[in-house]
Amino acid sequence: VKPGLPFLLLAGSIVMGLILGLIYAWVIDPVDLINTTPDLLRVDYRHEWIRLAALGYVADRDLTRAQARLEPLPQDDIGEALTALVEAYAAQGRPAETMRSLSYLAQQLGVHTPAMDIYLGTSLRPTPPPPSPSATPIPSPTPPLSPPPATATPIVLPTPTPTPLPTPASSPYRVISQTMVCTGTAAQLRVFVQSAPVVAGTQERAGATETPQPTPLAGVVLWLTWPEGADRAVTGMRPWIDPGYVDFALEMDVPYALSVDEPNFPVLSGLMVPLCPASDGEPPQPGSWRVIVSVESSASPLR
Amino acid sequence: MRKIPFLALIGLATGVALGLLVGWVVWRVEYTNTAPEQLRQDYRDDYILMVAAAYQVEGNLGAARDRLGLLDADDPAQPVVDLTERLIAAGGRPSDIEMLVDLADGLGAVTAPMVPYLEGSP
Repeated sequence: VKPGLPFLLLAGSIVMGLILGLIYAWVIDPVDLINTTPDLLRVDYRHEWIRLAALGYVADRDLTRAQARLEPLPQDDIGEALTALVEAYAAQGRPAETMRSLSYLAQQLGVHTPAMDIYLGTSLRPTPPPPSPSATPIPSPTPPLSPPPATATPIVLPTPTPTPLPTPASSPYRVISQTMVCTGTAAQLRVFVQSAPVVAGTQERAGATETPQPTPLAGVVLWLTWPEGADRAVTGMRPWIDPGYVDFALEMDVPYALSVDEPNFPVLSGLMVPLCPASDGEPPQPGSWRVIVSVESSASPLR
Repeated sequence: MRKIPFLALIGLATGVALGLLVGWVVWRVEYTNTAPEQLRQDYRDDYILMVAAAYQVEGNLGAARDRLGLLDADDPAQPVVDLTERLIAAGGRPSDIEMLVDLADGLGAVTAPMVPYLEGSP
């Protein structure tokens, strides 16, 4: 026997045994984790866990329990999943009470999304300066409009129909512009809600000639009703278009009415999908409406 | 010459022991993408309870069934039944039991202990 052979044999058999042991431990019979925790869930299940915990809070209003359920999870995941849930629910027009609960939970967990502000009582409406006794609003025949949604070059065809309804004297809401828009996209009602321009007294005294600018208003609830149903939306969900913007899909041959705050007091009714003029012998295509609703400064606070 | 097989055996046994120690303890397989069915029992219970709560809020039975299917694909209602009966027996929170019974009712899996909750007189 050569002098080094026993040592080599021992080392070789240890290595061989190590390899066999690892194959058994990692492949044949790995540690079976059957008692895992939520933070080990796959990312989609983890987000589902967060959504369920949030809905659990909506159902039982137990904040401590919701926090305990979310405690093991990373804050990034919580923020991402809750934001998606709040925004999806807002877009679906879920009940305000549900939205308030979700928004409150999100706030408690340090999550913030613009859709929440509406339900947390954080007013997004700017407070216009109180009118001075000497202030006189400067009439503006063509009020400055908010920018339209980003679409292909629109053909804007002003039309006089239908006529905005006369609203009760106490109503702060008024349709100040209604325009047919032909963009080649699906028929929509695009509403821009803005505060009525107010001129500060100091400006007038100083002889300023600058036209007052209306301010887009977020957090205004709009209702679109038709004979068989209703839809609800809140301005402020698409701030990249305009903070006071909201849109509704329209269907052909259905008469719609638009209301603000409550569904029973329309500011606009008899609204139908308009037809854009035909070109090159093609049939007329459905168009959209662009409506501007002005809110007097005395409008009620947010819900 | 007799020592050689003995040494090989000792070496192999030591190697296997080391391999198992490393594979099961030191560098064990890490599970980071687990599914709800692998959750610990208390988290599974919480999951079922949250599914019942989501059903209360959304009223979407299909979604509830899909979520429960991650725990028991063959019989999604069974985890609800098991948990409800356990909570009833243990005197759990009534509002939790009511949500679970409501879900069990939606899934067509009401059992005798749940009936009083459906009748409003537990």
